[in-house]
Amino acid sequence: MLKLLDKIRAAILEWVQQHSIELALLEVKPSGIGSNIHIILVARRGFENWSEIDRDESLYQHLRSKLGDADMANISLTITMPEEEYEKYARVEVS
Amino acid sequence: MAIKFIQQDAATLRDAYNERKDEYDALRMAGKWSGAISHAGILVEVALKLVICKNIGETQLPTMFQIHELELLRYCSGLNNSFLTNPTLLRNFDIVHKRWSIDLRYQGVTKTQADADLVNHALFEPVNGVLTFLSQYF
Repeated sequence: MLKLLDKIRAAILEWVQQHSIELALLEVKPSGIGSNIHIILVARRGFENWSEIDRDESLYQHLRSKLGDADMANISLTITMPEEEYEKYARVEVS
Repeated sequence: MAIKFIQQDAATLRDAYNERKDEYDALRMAGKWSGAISHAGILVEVALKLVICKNIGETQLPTMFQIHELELLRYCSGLNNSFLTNPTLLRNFDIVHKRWSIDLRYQGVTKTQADADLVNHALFEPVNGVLTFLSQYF
């Protein structure tokens, strides 16, 4: 699991670099349900002129090209958001 | 140990599913995109609970299923592996999952038509739509 988390994180950081995104936060963590993994990416800069739908699709395609279907199946939630939205963001986690 | 059950049985859940589906269609027709997405998630939640009822062969679910976590309900549905081995179905689930939480009930206009259309496609795409798929099992 740790190896996969690192692999996902590395693939995301590559995407971040490709798109000149300044990260405020990157969380790649087990969701607590099965072997599912949640990704939360918060950008300080880089999402200003990029819609959520388009940047999510871009990240999804990038991860799929780097990870393959078997590893992708573990990712059960991917959220990308600009920093100003993050403070408003709250999600109930299942413990 | 006595098991406590959710008040609504499977027949009631099915009625609720049909009613929420009609409301979902009406909200989309009216251009109420946030409301439509709020209902979209509820449709998936109820559909998953109906699938669980069917798979465990019971008409009432224990109160431990009185939850709104789509990811956990999918995991318990008996169909999780079908999602994990079908990238398009899994992607469609993710599209709904990330845009919906039960807290949308307490929010105003937060979703666009583009969001709602994407979610609608993820639900009802003819082959791998989440509800297209789940509705085969309840």
